[in-house]
Amino acid sequence: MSNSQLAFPDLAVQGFRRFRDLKISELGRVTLITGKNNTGKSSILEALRIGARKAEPAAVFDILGTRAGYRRGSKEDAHSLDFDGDFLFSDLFHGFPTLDDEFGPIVIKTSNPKDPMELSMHVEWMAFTEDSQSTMEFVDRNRVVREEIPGGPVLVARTKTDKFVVRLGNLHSFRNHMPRPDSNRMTCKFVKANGASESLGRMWDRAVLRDEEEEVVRALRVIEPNIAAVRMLGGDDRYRPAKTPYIRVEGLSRYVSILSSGDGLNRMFTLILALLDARGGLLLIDEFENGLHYTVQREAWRIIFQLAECHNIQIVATTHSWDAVAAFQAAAAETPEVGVLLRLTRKGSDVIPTVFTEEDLQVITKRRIEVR
Amino acid sequence: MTGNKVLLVEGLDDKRVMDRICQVHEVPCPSLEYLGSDTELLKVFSTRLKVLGKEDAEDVLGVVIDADTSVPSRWQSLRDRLGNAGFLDVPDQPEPDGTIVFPATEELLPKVGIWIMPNNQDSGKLEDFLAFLVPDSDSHWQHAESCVDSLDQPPFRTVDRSKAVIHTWLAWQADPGLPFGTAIQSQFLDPDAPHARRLVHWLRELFG
Repeated sequence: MSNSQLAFPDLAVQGFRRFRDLKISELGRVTLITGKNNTGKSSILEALRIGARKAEPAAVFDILGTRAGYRRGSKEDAHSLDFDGDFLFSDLFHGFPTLDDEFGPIVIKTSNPKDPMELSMHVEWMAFTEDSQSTMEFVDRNRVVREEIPGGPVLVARTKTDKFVVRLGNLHSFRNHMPRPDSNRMTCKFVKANGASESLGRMWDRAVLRDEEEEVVRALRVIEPNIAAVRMLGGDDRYRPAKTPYIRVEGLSRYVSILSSGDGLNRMFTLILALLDARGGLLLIDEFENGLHYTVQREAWRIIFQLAECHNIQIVATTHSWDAVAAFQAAAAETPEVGVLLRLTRKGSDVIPTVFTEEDLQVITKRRIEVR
Repeated sequence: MTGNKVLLVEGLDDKRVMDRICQVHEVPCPSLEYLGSDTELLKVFSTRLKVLGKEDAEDVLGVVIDADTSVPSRWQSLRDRLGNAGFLDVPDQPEPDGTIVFPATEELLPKVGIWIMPNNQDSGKLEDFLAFLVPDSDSHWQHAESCVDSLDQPPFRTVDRSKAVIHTWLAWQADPGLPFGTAIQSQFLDPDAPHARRLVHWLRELFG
């Protein structure tokens, strides 16, 4: 099956994090990204997230927060500058520029024939006029003007049809200063290396409302074949801990916390809820193998490929592990959906992508060629 | 010298011949992989081009493949794969003494060597190369050829004639029916023949 009906059949990223000018010629229905530390595996997930969500402030804030680039609640927030005088978006842009530097925009695009997405982001200075804070104008981003006119840096994101302006100081309140139709933003769910990017309780509630508890139990049985049922318990009032997952095993008369059953069940629970939530959209998984023993990874990929096809989800995951690559290849070979392995390699300050197609994956697995 | 040195060959016979020639001439031995067919070799060649050269600039990938019926079409299939991998300026034709191509300095690619059996110029295969190693002084080769050619309705395909001849000829040696590698080691096939020296020179340039 070709990948042309995917939201992101390919990806180009410029000026973002360590990517000066990265072009990935092909992404699959399911893509696994591998590469050594500091090759930018997670940054590709971030670029996809920003692209899919059209620079939605909540997503940008979450990305900055994850990398500790944004110290929420610190007094520097008000000035959108941290204590070194760097502006808060500095580490999103290639080369960690300061506001005084000339630097190019972040560009994230894909050549989807139906919806050729292109998003660009750059920083401008937004000045307030004296009479009213509600009037604003963009002025040249240079030091002289900055010192004369009160205001602050803003992130300006443009797509072909929209322009969004985000004040850095307001980022945490997710406010925008321009209308933005949410319908243009595709569903994008993100599973972090250490868990979901939103509350499991909310994700579970949505699964229950869609009557998908049985799907969840089926996925958990990959890890623990004797699971009979799963529930989320707790969180009724502020004196009780938040909702956490509980499982009941065949032959036992009571539920026990999923956390007492090892990392695998918890990881699988997060993955399946995110998958079921991501229908019609994009699912990003950082460090896929976390908590999953290599013996269950193949079955986990199988479920991922199945649900990706069934619910029209495009999935991009990262891994450090050769076992995950081998399991991925085996699952990819079983389905007509396109599985792509993407390896990132550093060359000096640049990152070079290598796309391994399914044919390559067969060779790699058969010949035990390592591409970690 | 560091780096991964990989030499892809079609069949087990190719592997044994290359192994023996490296050994006799003390060429630093690459890791030899035989793939079973030319189709599989070309697949693995494409994938290896993506894997090698990424972590180590001294990685080397060699290929020994039969021309079969046409050197130009064999060359084209290899050349296309080099182009897809990012090699620029790949020559239009293979070098008569074996081709070696270097990646542009900014590319993360291995150094690549290609030898098309028998001699990068003629159609044919490993067995045609081995025929070049038959000593000039030999008195039975022509007879072996005419024996094979005189068969009424030979069961083998025309393209396999050189195979039939060399096996016939090997059956008549002092130690009859030695496999190719051993025949080279025992000097029935001359590892110092000019064609063998050309191959050895290519191997040294590539892996040495």
